[in-house]
Amino acid sequence: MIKHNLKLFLRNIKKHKGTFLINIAGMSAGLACALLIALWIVDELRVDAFHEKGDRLVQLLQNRPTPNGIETDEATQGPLAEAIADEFPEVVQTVSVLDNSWFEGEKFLLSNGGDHFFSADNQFASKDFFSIFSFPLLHGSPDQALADLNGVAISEEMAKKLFQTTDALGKTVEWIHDEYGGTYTVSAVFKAVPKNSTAQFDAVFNKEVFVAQNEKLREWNNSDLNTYAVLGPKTDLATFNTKIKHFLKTKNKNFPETYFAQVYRERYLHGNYQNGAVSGGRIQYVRLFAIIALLILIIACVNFVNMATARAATRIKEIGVKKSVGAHRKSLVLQFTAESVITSAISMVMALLIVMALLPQFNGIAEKDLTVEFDAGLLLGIILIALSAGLAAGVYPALYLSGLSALSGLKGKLTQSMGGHFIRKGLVVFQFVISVILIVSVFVVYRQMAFIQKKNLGFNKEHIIWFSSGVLEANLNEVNGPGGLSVEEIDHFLQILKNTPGVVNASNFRHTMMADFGTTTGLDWPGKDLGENALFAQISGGYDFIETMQMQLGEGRLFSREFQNEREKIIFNEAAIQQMGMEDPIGKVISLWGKEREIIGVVKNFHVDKMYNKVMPVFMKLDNNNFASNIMVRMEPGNEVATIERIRKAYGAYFVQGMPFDFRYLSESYQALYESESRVAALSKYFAGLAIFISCLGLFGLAVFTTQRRRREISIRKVLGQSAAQVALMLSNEFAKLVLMAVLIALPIAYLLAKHWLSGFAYHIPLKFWYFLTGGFMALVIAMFTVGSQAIRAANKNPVNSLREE
Amino acid sequence: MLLQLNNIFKWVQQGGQRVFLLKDINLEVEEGEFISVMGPSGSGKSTLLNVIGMLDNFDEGEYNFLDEPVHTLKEKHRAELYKQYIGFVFQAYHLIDELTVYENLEMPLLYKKMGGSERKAMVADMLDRFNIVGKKDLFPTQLSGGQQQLVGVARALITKPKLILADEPTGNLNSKQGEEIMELFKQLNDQGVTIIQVTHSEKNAAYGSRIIHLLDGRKEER
Repeated sequence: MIKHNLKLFLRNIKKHKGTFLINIAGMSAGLACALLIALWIVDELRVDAFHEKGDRLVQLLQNRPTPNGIETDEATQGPLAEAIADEFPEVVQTVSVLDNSWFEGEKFLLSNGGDHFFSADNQFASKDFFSIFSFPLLHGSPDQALADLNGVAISEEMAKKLFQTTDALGKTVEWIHDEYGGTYTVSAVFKAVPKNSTAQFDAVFNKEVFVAQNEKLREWNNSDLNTYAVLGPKTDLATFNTKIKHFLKTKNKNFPETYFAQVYRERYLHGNYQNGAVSGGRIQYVRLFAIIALLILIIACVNFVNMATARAATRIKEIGVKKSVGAHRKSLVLQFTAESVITSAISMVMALLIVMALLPQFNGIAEKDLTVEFDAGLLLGIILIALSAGLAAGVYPALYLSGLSALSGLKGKLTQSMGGHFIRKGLVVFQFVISVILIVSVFVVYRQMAFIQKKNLGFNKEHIIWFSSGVLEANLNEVNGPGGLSVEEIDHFLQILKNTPGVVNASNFRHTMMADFGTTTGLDWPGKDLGENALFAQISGGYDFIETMQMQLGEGRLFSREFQNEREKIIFNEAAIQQMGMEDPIGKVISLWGKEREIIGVVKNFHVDKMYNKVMPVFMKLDNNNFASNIMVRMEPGNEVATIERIRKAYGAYFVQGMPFDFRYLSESYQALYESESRVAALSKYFAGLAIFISCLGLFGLAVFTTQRRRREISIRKVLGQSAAQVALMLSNEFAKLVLMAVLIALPIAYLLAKHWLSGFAYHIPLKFWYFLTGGFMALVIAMFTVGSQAIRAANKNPVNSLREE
Repeated sequence: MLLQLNNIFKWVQQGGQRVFLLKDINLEVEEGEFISVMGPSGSGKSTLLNVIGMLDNFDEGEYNFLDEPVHTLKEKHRAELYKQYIGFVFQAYHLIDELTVYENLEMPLLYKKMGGSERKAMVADMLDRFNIVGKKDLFPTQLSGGQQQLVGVARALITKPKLILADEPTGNLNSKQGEEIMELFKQLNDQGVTIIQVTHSEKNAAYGSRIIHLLDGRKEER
């Protein structure tokens, strides 16, 4: 019997290739999407999960009351790690870490003593680092790796780069830096840091090297280091948190900050804090995508059911004949369910192929490194999904088909009273609601992203590159000399750059203008309400910085070499003047951190923060020294590649030869600010496409089913003189109504969602009516194309054929 | 006695009124009979055949088949009964288009507990008996109407039923093909198979040993 049914299955596929392909396409597209998202979710959940200490490994965070509410900060006081290890018995081990983000991601230069330099992420840690975190060592032992002041642990890649071998124990590493530079001995080589670790670093130095240069870290009133602790096996985190909350008060009762500990591996997904408590984070995206995956899977299954029941018409004779020779219902249910499971298994194989083909692109969009590995978990998951999808999609049609009586089967009749028909229409409406919402969302997100790209920022971000010089020495021969670049050296180098053909202007600066600025409330002016904590952003740069950025001067003048004591002057933007409520600001004197400064100019407002927030009040002071150690170069448009090559040469000639020249375009840094939005935009584009694709398959199934059901009516209409075109129109209308209904339901939902999303931006596009109209119209047009072919086919059939069947 | 119908009524509700499809039918059929059912369109011939074949229900009356009271049996038992004793031949043949002649013949046997080799032997026997061995790997659409009906009859016979129900078996055939099928029925009847056929043609009806006339769902006595 199995052989027989298999033959029937295969021959039916052969006969109805189109429907079968549509079925497989819909199912495999849905499954592929669900699989991709599942891979992504599993990967997200695995981040930082490899540390063996697991739930016992916590990070201490501190809550600081500010005028804007409680701020949660991961930077903690220098002595904290040792103090809690001493004073709390449940704390087993602690470590202080100063990671690379403290240097704002600046790369450092390491060499093996020769003149070949490699850029590296360096960080500092106290001695238990490698016994607390699970970064396995290839050479060296965890307790000795950071025992010596001049020891350094390097990664196996760095060891290979520096020494062409991983066995680098005892070899010397040269670090070129004005403060921490010097000669270090390799005390350990650790395995490559896994990609799913949030901590990424190439070399770990002894924390004391850093503290020696920053003695204030030995006090309780400076927060810079990250503090991690391993708790005893039976410690309850909530109890521990109540114990440490007011620990800082025991050190100085005037400090307002409080502590709490969070499990380290949970920080990646739960990294947002509100009012001093964890409130979501990336986990929200994980949940959102999980819901989307489930929805798409459901839509795909619904289609499968629709198509299978629609196909019923072609199988009813078989059922009638089988029943008339005595087939039991059970055997028929089994037959049709098996067909469905096999189809879903084929779809699963297709889906896997699709996933493997799409994975590189998906990795690009999601910034991941996902791979399909056929381990037991994946195989089990796949089999389970295929089986349950097949069963879910197969059981209903199987029951429906097998429930037809032998007589109606033989007569070729489908039962007319179909409660399922209403449900089926409802499901198609549901599918289109989701599709329309996604289409409109894609519209809105793309418009907003384009708006952000084209928005006048108040400065010109195009044709600018920037790079760091903070770790450099001006002269190769004085590598170990004290201090960074002097004022004269900076000036000299900038002059060289300005004389380079293709360069318009150049300046040194501290803040990249890309949501990167310091803030302070330490600004006083005549008439200031002493109760208010007016917040100002600080942007620092040398001469020509404002000119290089091409900001617009409102009144007064900019910093200039023609005046004296420019470093004691200050320039504001209009928002700052407005915040201070000042009239005629030029020449007035304010006090910054207790030091008086004269206002010499006001620039027009510019966006230094992300578009989420209103324009910040900003002040700018002149820092033509190495406090502002980055270099920004504006180039002439057109010949940028050649100009950059000349800059690279100038850089190499002035600084150390063979040093890597790492530069970034300012416009790229700008795009990076909205990375998660662009990622959501790119992904939602695919999701919308997929949703509309699958929905159309569903509609197609419904169209096939309906035209089958109504073919007698169609014939009678035609015999009575309706033209094929009229019949096609009549059939299409029925579906147009469904889609229209979906559009009407979807648009208000889409409107609310779009409004909510845009409200996160202080500067956003207005919600125009036509976004919604276009979205709905697109869905309608695509749907009509889908249904039209069926309708026309049905309308053009010879009426005699279907009338004869009765 | 093979089967017995006592006061069978069958109706449908139409516009609040009962429209009778079968009205007070009484019929006794002995084994070995060859009965032709005649009557104009809508007189209830096919309905009667379907009731006898247990494919359709009736609303009132008693039906005994081999002394089993069919009217009290559950669906499942009824299916067991007709599976074992009744074979159907249809006007439109109703062969499964996706199966070959061989597979179509084999299909009824799949729903009986039977070994593969036994099945093979029975199909081969049937192919032989109907002289269609050469056609066994063809699909129904590759055969002429007469050949298809030949396969239809063979399929009905393969389970060795006591009763063959044929609903206008020659309705879709030309006269020569029709004659062949009727000759075949005659032979089968001579071998002891009971046959009830529905037909419009007096000529075909004459093959039967008894003719029943229906009009408006009622048996007409002539």
